[in-house]
Amino acid sequence: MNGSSDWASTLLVLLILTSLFLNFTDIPQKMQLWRWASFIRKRLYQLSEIENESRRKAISYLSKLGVSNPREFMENFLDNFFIIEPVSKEPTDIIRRLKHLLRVRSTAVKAYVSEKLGNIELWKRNNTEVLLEIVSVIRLINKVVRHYFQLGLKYSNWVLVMQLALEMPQILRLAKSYNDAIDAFLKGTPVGDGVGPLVARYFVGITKPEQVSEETDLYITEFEGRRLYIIKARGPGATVGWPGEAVEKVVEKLGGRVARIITVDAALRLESEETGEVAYGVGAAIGDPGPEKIAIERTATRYSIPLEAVVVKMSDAEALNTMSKKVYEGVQKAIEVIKKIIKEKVPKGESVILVGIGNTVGIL
Amino acid sequence: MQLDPLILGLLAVFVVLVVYTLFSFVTSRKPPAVPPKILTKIVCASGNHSEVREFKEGDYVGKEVGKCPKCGSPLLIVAVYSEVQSVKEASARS
Repeated sequence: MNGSSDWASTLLVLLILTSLFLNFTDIPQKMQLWRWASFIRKRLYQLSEIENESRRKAISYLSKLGVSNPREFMENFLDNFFIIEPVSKEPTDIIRRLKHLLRVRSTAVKAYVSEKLGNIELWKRNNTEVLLEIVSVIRLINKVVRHYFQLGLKYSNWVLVMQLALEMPQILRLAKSYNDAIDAFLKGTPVGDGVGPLVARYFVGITKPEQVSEETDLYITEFEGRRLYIIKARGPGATVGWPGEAVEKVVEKLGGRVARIITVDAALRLESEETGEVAYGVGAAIGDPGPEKIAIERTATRYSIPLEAVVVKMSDAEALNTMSKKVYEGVQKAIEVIKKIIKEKVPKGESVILVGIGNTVGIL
Repeated sequence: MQLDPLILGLLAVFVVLVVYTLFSFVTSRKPPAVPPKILTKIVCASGNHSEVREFKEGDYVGKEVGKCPKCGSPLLIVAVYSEVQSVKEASARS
Protein backbone atom coordinates (compact mmCIF):
# COMPACT_ATOMS: atom_id res chain seq x y z
CA MET A 1 0.00 0.00 0.00
CA ASN A 2 1.55 3.37 -0.95
CA GLY A 3 1.37 6.70 0.98
CA SER A 4 -1.36 8.42 -1.08
CA SER A 5 -3.87 5.56 -0.79
CA ASP A 6 -3.13 5.49 2.97
CA TRP A 7 -4.24 9.10 3.61
CA ALA A 8 -7.13 8.73 1.18
CA SER A 9 -8.53 5.75 3.10
CA THR A 10 -8.04 7.63 6.41
CA LEU A 11 -9.93 10.61 5.01
CA LEU A 12 -12.73 8.33 3.77
CA VAL A 13 -13.08 6.71 7.20
CA LEU A 14 -13.13 10.17 8.81
CA LEU A 15 -15.82 11.33 6.39
CA ILE A 16 -18.01 8.32 7.07
CA LEU A 17 -17.60 8.69 10.84
CA THR A 18 -18.35 12.42 10.68
CA SER A 19 -21.41 11.76 8.55
CA LEU A 20 -22.68 9.19 11.07
CA PHE A 21 -21.93 11.58 13.92
CA LEU A 22 -23.75 14.51 12.28
CA ASN A 23 -26.74 12.65 10.86
CA PHE A 24 -27.53 9.79 13.17
CA THR A 25 -26.86 11.14 16.68
CA ASP A 26 -28.20 14.14 18.61
CA ILE A 27 -24.72 14.97 19.90
CA PRO A 28 -24.35 18.09 17.67
CA GLN A 29 -27.65 19.45 19.01
CA LYS A 30 -26.54 18.72 22.57
CA MET A 31 -23.29 20.53 21.91
CA GLN A 32 -25.17 23.45 20.41
CA LEU A 33 -27.51 23.50 23.41
CA TRP A 34 -24.56 23.53 25.76
CA ARG A 35 -22.93 26.34 23.79
CA TRP A 36 -26.08 28.53 23.63
CA ALA A 37 -26.86 27.85 27.30
CA SER A 38 -23.39 29.02 28.29
CA PHE A 39 -23.90 32.16 26.14
CA ILE A 40 -27.27 32.87 27.84
CA ARG A 41 -25.92 32.28 31.36
CA LYS A 42 -23.33 35.03 30.87
CA ARG A 43 -26.05 37.44 29.65
CA LEU A 44 -28.39 36.44 32.48
CA TYR A 45 -25.68 37.46 34.90
CA GLN A 46 -25.54 40.88 33.21
CA LEU A 47 -29.34 41.10 33.31
CA SER A 48 -29.33 40.40 37.06
CA GLU A 49 -26.67 43.06 37.52
CA ILE A 50 -28.88 45.57 35.69
CA GLU A 51 -31.86 44.62 37.87
CA ASN A 52 -29.80 44.96 41.05
CA GLU A 53 -28.50 48.34 39.97
CA SER A 54 -32.01 49.59 39.24
CA ARG A 55 -33.13 48.40 42.68
CA ARG A 56 -30.20 50.17 44.36
CA LYS A 57 -31.06 53.42 42.58
CA ALA A 58 -34.74 53.12 43.55
CA ILE A 59 -33.96 52.35 47.20
CA SER A 60 -31.52 55.25 47.41
CA TYR A 61 -34.13 57.65 45.92
CA LEU A 62 -36.89 56.39 48.21
CA SER A 63 -34.61 56.78 51.26
CA LYS A 64 -33.95 60.40 50.26
CA LEU A 65 -37.72 60.96 50.13
CA GLY A 66 -37.97 59.71 53.70
CA VAL A 67 -39.59 56.29 53.14
CA SER A 68 -38.99 54.31 56.34
CA ASN A 69 -38.52 50.85 54.80
CA PRO A 70 -37.76 51.49 51.13
CA ARG A 71 -36.86 47.89 50.26
CA GLU A 72 -40.14 46.48 51.54
CA PHE A 73 -42.07 49.34 49.92
CA MET A 74 -40.45 48.59 46.56
CA GLU A 75 -40.66 44.79 46.75
CA ASN A 76 -44.33 44.98 47.60
CA PHE A 77 -44.93 47.10 44.51
CA LEU A 78 -42.91 44.87 42.17
CA ASP A 79 -44.88 41.72 42.83
CA ASN A 80 -48.31 43.31 42.82
CA PHE A 81 -50.42 45.79 40.86
CA PHE A 82 -50.77 43.58 37.77
CA ILE A 83 -53.71 44.13 35.46
CA ILE A 84 -55.88 41.43 33.88
CA GLU A 85 -57.09 42.41 30.44
CA PRO A 86 -60.86 42.43 29.95
CA VAL A 87 -62.63 39.60 28.12
CA SER A 88 -62.20 40.10 24.37
CA LYS A 89 -64.45 37.27 23.12
CA GLU A 90 -67.38 39.53 23.89
CA PRO A 91 -66.11 42.91 22.60
CA THR A 92 -69.12 45.03 23.61
CA ASP A 93 -67.92 47.80 25.89
CA ILE A 94 -64.36 46.41 25.93
CA ILE A 95 -62.84 49.90 25.77
CA ARG A 96 -65.01 51.13 28.63
CA ARG A 97 -64.05 48.08 30.70
CA LEU A 98 -60.35 48.52 29.86
CA LYS A 99 -60.53 52.22 30.73
CA HIS A 100 -62.16 51.35 34.03
CA LEU A 101 -59.45 48.80 34.87
CA LEU A 102 -56.66 51.22 33.92
CA ARG A 103 -58.20 53.95 36.10
CA VAL A 104 -58.65 51.56 39.02
CA ARG A 105 -55.02 50.45 38.79
CA SER A 106 -53.76 54.01 38.43
CA THR A 107 -55.75 55.07 41.50
CA ALA A 108 -54.46 52.08 43.48
CA VAL A 109 -50.82 52.87 42.57
CA LYS A 110 -51.26 56.54 43.48
CA ALA A 111 -52.87 55.60 46.79
CA TYR A 112 -50.05 53.14 47.58
CA VAL A 113 -47.34 55.72 46.81
CA SER A 114 -49.13 58.59 48.57
CA GLU A 115 -49.67 56.49 51.69
CA LYS A 116 -45.93 55.97 52.12
CA LEU A 117 -44.69 59.32 50.87
CA GLY A 118 -47.25 61.45 52.66
CA ASN A 119 -47.95 64.94 51.50
CA ILE A 120 -45.21 65.60 48.95
CA GLU A 121 -45.22 67.60 45.73
CA LEU A 122 -47.14 66.07 42.83
CA TRP A 123 -44.06 65.87 40.58
CA LYS A 124 -42.13 63.87 43.19
CA ARG A 125 -45.02 61.45 43.59
CA ASN A 126 -45.30 61.07 39.81
CA ASN A 127 -41.56 60.44 39.46
CA THR A 128 -41.71 57.82 42.23
CA GLU A 129 -44.55 56.00 40.47
CA VAL A 130 -42.61 55.91 37.20
CA LEU A 131 -39.46 54.81 39.01
CA LEU A 132 -41.28 51.85 40.56
CA GLU A 133 -42.86 50.97 37.21
CA ILE A 134 -39.42 50.93 35.53
CA VAL A 135 -37.89 48.65 38.17
CA SER A 136 -40.96 46.46 37.82
CA VAL A 137 -40.45 46.19 34.04
CA ILE A 138 -36.76 45.27 34.44
CA ARG A 139 -37.71 42.60 36.95
CA LEU A 140 -40.38 41.25 34.59
CA ILE A 141 -37.88 41.06 31.70
CA ASN A 142 -35.45 39.12 33.92
CA LYS A 143 -38.16 36.75 35.10
CA VAL A 144 -39.52 36.04 31.61
CA VAL A 145 -36.05 35.41 30.16
CA ARG A 146 -35.20 33.01 33.00
CA HIS A 147 -38.52 31.25 32.50
CA TYR A 148 -37.85 30.48 28.84
CA PHE A 149 -34.24 29.55 29.52
CA GLN A 150 -35.17 27.07 32.24
CA LEU A 151 -38.01 25.71 30.11
CA GLY A 152 -35.60 25.17 27.20
CA LEU A 153 -33.11 23.33 29.40
CA LYS A 154 -35.79 21.26 31.13
CA TYR A 155 -37.08 19.81 27.85
CA SER A 156 -33.73 20.00 25.97
CA ASN A 157 -35.50 22.31 23.54
CA TRP A 158 -32.43 23.56 21.70
CA VAL A 159 -34.54 25.62 19.27
CA LEU A 160 -36.02 27.60 22.17
CA VAL A 161 -32.61 28.06 23.79
CA MET A 162 -31.05 29.10 20.48
CA GLN A 163 -33.85 31.61 19.80
CA LEU A 164 -33.41 33.06 23.26
CA ALA A 165 -29.64 33.30 22.81
CA LEU A 166 -30.10 35.18 19.55
CA GLU A 167 -32.58 37.57 21.20
CA MET A 168 -30.38 38.19 24.24
CA PRO A 169 -28.40 41.19 22.89
CA GLN A 170 -31.65 43.03 22.09
CA ILE A 171 -33.19 42.09 25.44
CA LEU A 172 -30.10 43.31 27.28
CA ARG A 173 -30.11 46.56 25.35
CA LEU A 174 -33.76 47.12 26.29
CA ALA A 175 -33.15 46.34 29.97
CA LYS A 176 -30.15 48.70 29.96
CA SER A 177 -32.28 51.44 28.37
CA TYR A 178 -34.82 51.07 31.17
CA ASN A 179 -32.06 51.21 33.75
CA ASP A 180 -30.59 54.36 32.18
CA ALA A 181 -34.09 55.85 32.06
CA ILE A 182 -34.14 55.80 35.87
CA ASP A 183 -31.35 58.42 35.88
CA ALA A 184 -33.35 60.64 33.54
CA PHE A 185 -36.46 60.40 35.72
CA LEU A 186 -34.50 60.96 38.93
CA LYS A 187 -32.80 64.05 37.50
CA GLY A 188 -36.10 65.22 36.05
CA THR A 189 -34.78 65.81 32.53
CA PRO A 190 -37.17 65.57 29.56
CA VAL A 191 -37.07 62.19 27.82
CA GLY A 192 -37.41 61.38 24.11
CA ASP A 193 -41.05 60.45 24.63
CA GLY A 194 -41.60 64.04 25.77
CA VAL A 195 -41.51 65.48 22.24
CA GLY A 196 -45.31 65.93 22.26
CA PRO A 197 -45.42 67.95 25.50
CA LEU A 198 -42.32 69.93 24.39
CA VAL A 199 -43.94 70.92 21.08
CA ALA A 200 -47.11 71.85 22.98
CA ARG A 201 -45.03 73.90 25.43
CA TYR A 202 -43.61 75.97 22.57
CA PHE A 203 -47.10 77.10 21.53
CA VAL A 204 -48.21 77.70 25.15
CA GLY A 205 -45.84 80.63 25.73
CA ILE A 206 -46.73 82.31 29.03
CA THR A 207 -50.43 81.31 29.06
CA LYS A 208 -51.79 79.96 32.36
CA PRO A 209 -53.36 76.50 32.37
CA GLU A 210 -56.71 75.20 33.56
CA GLN A 211 -57.21 71.60 34.57
CA VAL A 212 -59.34 69.70 32.07
CA SER A 213 -58.82 66.10 33.27
CA GLU A 214 -56.77 64.43 35.98
CA GLU A 215 -53.11 65.53 35.59
CA THR A 216 -54.01 67.06 32.21
CA ASP A 217 -54.05 70.79 31.45
CA LEU A 218 -55.67 72.96 28.84
CA TYR A 219 -54.09 76.21 27.59
CA ILE A 220 -56.08 78.61 25.43
CA THR A 221 -54.05 80.97 23.25
CA GLU A 222 -53.89 82.53 19.79
CA PHE A 223 -51.74 81.66 16.79
CA GLU A 224 -51.81 83.95 13.74
CA GLY A 225 -55.53 84.71 14.09
CA ARG A 226 -56.57 81.14 15.01
CA ARG A 227 -57.76 80.13 18.46
CA LEU A 228 -55.46 77.43 19.78
CA TYR A 229 -56.54 74.92 22.44
CA ILE A 230 -53.46 73.12 23.71
CA ILE A 231 -53.74 69.94 25.75
CA LYS A 232 -50.78 68.35 27.55
CA ALA A 233 -50.07 66.38 30.70
CA ARG A 234 -49.30 68.48 33.78
CA GLY A 235 -45.54 68.78 34.34
CA PRO A 236 -42.83 68.82 35.34
CA GLY A 237 -43.48 65.44 36.99
CA ALA A 238 -43.47 62.16 35.05
CA THR A 239 -47.00 61.61 33.78
CA VAL A 240 -48.82 61.17 30.49
CA GLY A 241 -52.19 62.43 31.75
CA TRP A 242 -55.50 61.50 30.11
CA PRO A 243 -55.38 63.32 26.74
CA GLY A 244 -58.24 61.37 25.11
CA GLU A 245 -60.69 62.33 27.81
CA ALA A 246 -59.41 65.92 27.66
CA VAL A 247 -59.96 66.16 23.88
CA GLU A 248 -63.49 64.79 24.32
CA LYS A 249 -64.31 67.42 26.97
CA VAL A 250 -62.87 70.34 25.02
CA VAL A 251 -64.62 69.39 21.77
CA GLU A 252 -67.93 68.91 23.62
CA LYS A 253 -67.46 72.28 25.33
CA LEU A 254 -66.93 73.92 21.93
CA GLY A 255 -69.97 72.11 20.52
CA GLY A 256 -67.80 70.42 17.90
CA ARG A 257 -66.81 73.74 16.30
CA VAL A 258 -63.15 72.75 15.80
CA ALA A 259 -61.43 73.03 12.43
CA ARG A 260 -58.73 70.45 13.20
CA ILE A 261 -57.29 68.23 15.91
CA ILE A 262 -53.51 67.83 15.71
CA THR A 263 -51.74 65.18 17.80
CA VAL A 264 -47.94 65.17 18.23
CA ASP A 265 -46.06 62.18 19.60
CA ALA A 266 -42.83 60.22 19.47
CA ALA A 267 -42.77 57.26 17.07
CA LEU A 268 -40.42 54.30 16.96
CA ARG A 269 -38.11 54.56 14.00
CA LEU A 270 -37.12 51.73 11.71
CA GLU A 271 -33.42 50.88 11.59
CA SER A 272 -33.18 52.50 8.15
CA GLU A 273 -34.61 55.80 9.45
CA GLU A 274 -32.76 58.60 11.20
CA THR A 275 -33.47 59.83 14.73
CA GLY A 276 -35.28 63.17 14.66
CA GLU A 277 -37.01 62.61 11.32
CA VAL A 278 -40.46 64.17 11.28
CA ALA A 279 -43.45 62.78 9.42
CA TYR A 280 -47.10 63.79 9.31
CA GLY A 281 -50.23 61.91 8.42
CA VAL A 282 -53.81 61.24 9.41
CA GLY A 283 -55.08 59.71 12.65
CA ALA A 284 -54.42 59.93 16.36
CA ALA A 285 -50.70 59.78 17.16
CA ILE A 286 -50.87 58.16 20.58
CA GLY A 287 -49.55 54.84 21.84
CA ASP A 288 -51.84 54.09 24.78
CA PRO A 289 -53.50 50.69 25.37
CA GLY A 290 -56.67 51.95 23.65
CA PRO A 291 -59.08 54.10 25.66
CA GLU A 292 -57.38 57.46 25.10
CA LYS A 293 -56.80 56.88 21.40
CA ILE A 294 -60.34 55.72 20.75
CA ALA A 295 -61.70 58.73 22.66
CA ILE A 296 -59.87 61.06 20.24
CA GLU A 297 -60.96 59.05 17.19
CA ARG A 298 -64.60 58.86 18.28
CA THR A 299 -64.79 62.55 19.11
CA ALA A 300 -63.23 63.54 15.79
CA THR A 301 -65.56 61.19 13.89
CA ARG A 302 -68.69 62.36 15.76
CA TYR A 303 -68.13 65.95 14.63
CA SER A 304 -66.29 65.17 11.35
CA ILE A 305 -63.18 66.97 12.54
CA PRO A 306 -60.06 66.22 10.46
CA LEU A 307 -57.45 64.46 12.60
CA GLU A 308 -53.79 65.20 11.87
CA ALA A 309 -50.81 63.34 13.33
CA VAL A 310 -47.23 64.59 13.53
CA VAL A 311 -44.51 62.24 14.78
CA VAL A 312 -40.82 62.54 15.61
CA LYS A 313 -38.90 59.30 14.99
CA MET A 314 -36.54 57.74 17.52
CA SER A 315 -35.46 54.36 18.89
CA ASP A 316 -37.02 52.80 21.99
CA ALA A 317 -33.85 53.57 23.98
CA GLU A 318 -33.98 57.23 22.90
CA ALA A 319 -37.66 57.45 23.84
CA LEU A 320 -36.87 56.36 27.40
CA ASN A 321 -33.73 58.39 28.05
CA THR A 322 -32.84 62.07 28.35
CA MET A 323 -33.87 63.78 25.13
CA SER A 324 -30.95 63.77 22.71
CA LYS A 325 -29.92 66.75 20.60
CA LYS A 326 -31.11 64.96 17.44
CA VAL A 327 -34.56 64.43 18.96
CA TYR A 328 -34.64 68.07 20.05
CA GLU A 329 -33.84 69.11 16.48
CA GLY A 330 -36.79 66.90 15.47
CA VAL A 331 -38.98 68.87 17.89
CA GLN A 332 -38.00 72.11 16.16
CA LYS A 333 -38.88 70.58 12.77
CA ALA A 334 -42.23 69.31 14.16
CA ILE A 335 -43.06 72.85 15.36
CA GLU A 336 -42.53 74.17 11.83
CA VAL A 337 -44.70 71.37 10.36
CA ILE A 338 -47.52 72.20 12.80
CA LYS A 339 -47.29 75.92 12.04
CA LYS A 340 -47.60 75.07 8.33
CA ILE A 341 -50.61 72.78 8.92
CA ILE A 342 -52.38 75.48 10.96
CA LYS A 343 -51.66 78.24 8.45
CA GLU A 344 -52.65 76.17 5.41
CA LYS A 345 -55.57 74.12 6.75
CA VAL A 346 -57.19 76.20 9.50
CA PRO A 347 -58.96 79.38 8.30
CA LYS A 348 -58.41 82.53 10.37
CA GLY A 349 -60.89 82.96 13.20
CA GLU A 350 -61.42 79.21 13.64
CA SER A 351 -60.32 76.91 16.44
CA VAL A 352 -57.73 74.15 16.44
CA ILE A 353 -56.83 71.65 19.14
CA LEU A 354 -53.17 70.71 19.56
CA VAL A 355 -52.49 67.68 21.75
CA GLY A 356 -48.94 67.00 22.99
CA ILE A 357 -48.88 63.27 23.67
CA GLY A 358 -46.19 61.67 25.82
CA ASN A 359 -44.46 61.79 29.16
CA THR A 360 -44.05 65.33 30.39
CA VAL A 361 -41.18 64.72 32.82
CA GLY A 362 -39.00 67.84 32.95
CA ILE A 363 -41.54 69.89 30.98
CA LEU A 364 -43.94 72.23 32.79
CA MET B 1 10.75 16.85 3.55
CA GLN B 2 7.24 16.57 2.12
CA LEU B 3 4.27 17.04 4.48
CA ASP B 4 1.32 14.66 4.40
CA PRO B 5 -1.64 16.47 2.71
CA LEU B 6 -3.91 15.40 5.60
CA ILE B 7 -1.60 17.02 8.18
CA LEU B 8 -1.36 20.08 5.93
CA GLY B 9 -5.17 20.29 5.78
CA LEU B 10 -5.50 19.96 9.54
CA LEU B 11 -2.87 22.67 10.06
CA ALA B 12 -4.74 24.98 7.69
CA VAL B 13 -7.99 24.41 9.59
CA PHE B 14 -6.22 25.10 12.88
CA VAL B 15 -4.71 28.37 11.58
CA VAL B 16 -8.12 29.54 10.25
CA LEU B 17 -9.74 28.81 13.64
CA VAL B 18 -7.06 30.73 15.56
CA VAL B 19 -7.30 33.74 13.20
CA TYR B 20 -11.13 33.71 13.43
CA THR B 21 -11.02 33.59 17.25
CA LEU B 22 -8.52 36.46 17.45
CA PHE B 23 -10.51 38.51 14.91
CA SER B 24 -13.78 37.96 16.84
CA PHE B 25 -12.09 38.98 20.09
CA VAL B 26 -10.64 42.18 18.63
CA THR B 27 -13.83 43.27 16.83
CA SER B 28 -16.08 42.56 19.84
CA ARG B 29 -14.13 44.99 22.06
CA LYS B 30 -16.03 48.28 22.28
CA PRO B 31 -14.54 51.69 23.08
CA PRO B 32 -15.35 52.90 26.62
CA ALA B 33 -18.79 54.55 26.84
CA VAL B 34 -18.64 58.32 27.32
CA PRO B 35 -21.56 59.75 29.31
CA PRO B 36 -23.38 62.43 27.32
CA LYS B 37 -23.43 65.96 28.70
CA ILE B 38 -26.81 67.43 29.53
CA LEU B 39 -27.44 71.00 28.46
CA THR B 40 -30.10 73.57 29.29
CA LYS B 41 -31.19 76.10 26.67
CA ILE B 42 -32.44 79.42 28.02
CA VAL B 43 -34.22 82.02 25.92
CA CYS B 44 -35.50 85.51 26.71
CA ALA B 45 -39.33 85.77 26.43
CA SER B 46 -38.87 88.69 24.00
CA GLY B 47 -36.34 86.78 21.93
CA ASN B 48 -33.46 89.19 22.61
CA HIS B 49 -31.12 86.75 24.32
CA SER B 50 -30.32 83.04 24.20
CA GLU B 51 -27.78 80.90 26.01
CA VAL B 52 -26.90 77.24 26.54
CA ARG B 53 -25.39 76.10 29.81
CA GLU B 54 -24.87 72.84 31.69
CA PHE B 55 -27.95 71.27 33.24
CA LYS B 56 -28.48 71.99 36.95
CA GLU B 57 -30.68 69.88 39.19
CA GLY B 58 -34.12 71.46 39.34
CA ASP B 59 -34.07 72.71 35.74
CA TYR B 60 -37.18 72.00 33.69
CA VAL B 61 -38.68 73.36 30.50
CA GLY B 62 -40.91 76.35 31.21
CA LYS B 63 -39.06 77.37 34.38
CA GLU B 64 -38.24 81.06 34.80
CA VAL B 65 -34.57 81.48 35.67
CA GLY B 66 -34.13 85.24 35.97
CA LYS B 67 -34.34 88.37 33.88
CA CYS B 68 -32.84 89.06 30.47
CA PRO B 69 -29.60 91.09 30.79
CA LYS B 70 -30.54 93.03 27.63
CA CYS B 71 -34.26 93.85 28.02
CA GLY B 72 -35.31 92.69 31.50
CA SER B 73 -37.91 90.22 30.17
CA PRO B 74 -38.17 86.82 31.91
CA LEU B 75 -35.59 84.21 30.94
CA LEU B 76 -37.23 80.84 30.33
CA ILE B 77 -35.80 77.35 29.94
CA VAL B 78 -36.98 76.13 26.53
CA ALA B 79 -35.09 72.84 26.25
CA VAL B 80 -33.01 70.32 28.15
CA TYR B 81 -31.16 67.82 25.99
CA SER B 82 -28.15 65.53 25.98
CA GLU B 83 -25.24 65.87 23.62
CA VAL B 84 -22.74 63.15 22.87
CA GLN B 85 -19.23 64.27 23.77
CA SER B 86 -15.99 62.95 22.40
CA VAL B 87 -13.57 60.95 24.60
CA LYS B 88 -11.21 63.98 24.51
CA GLU B 89 -13.94 66.35 25.79
CA ALA B 90 -15.00 63.93 28.51
CA SER B 91 -11.46 63.45 29.83
CA ALA B 92 -10.88 67.23 29.78
CA ARG B 93 -14.02 67.75 31.90
CA SER B 94 -13.27 65.03 34.44
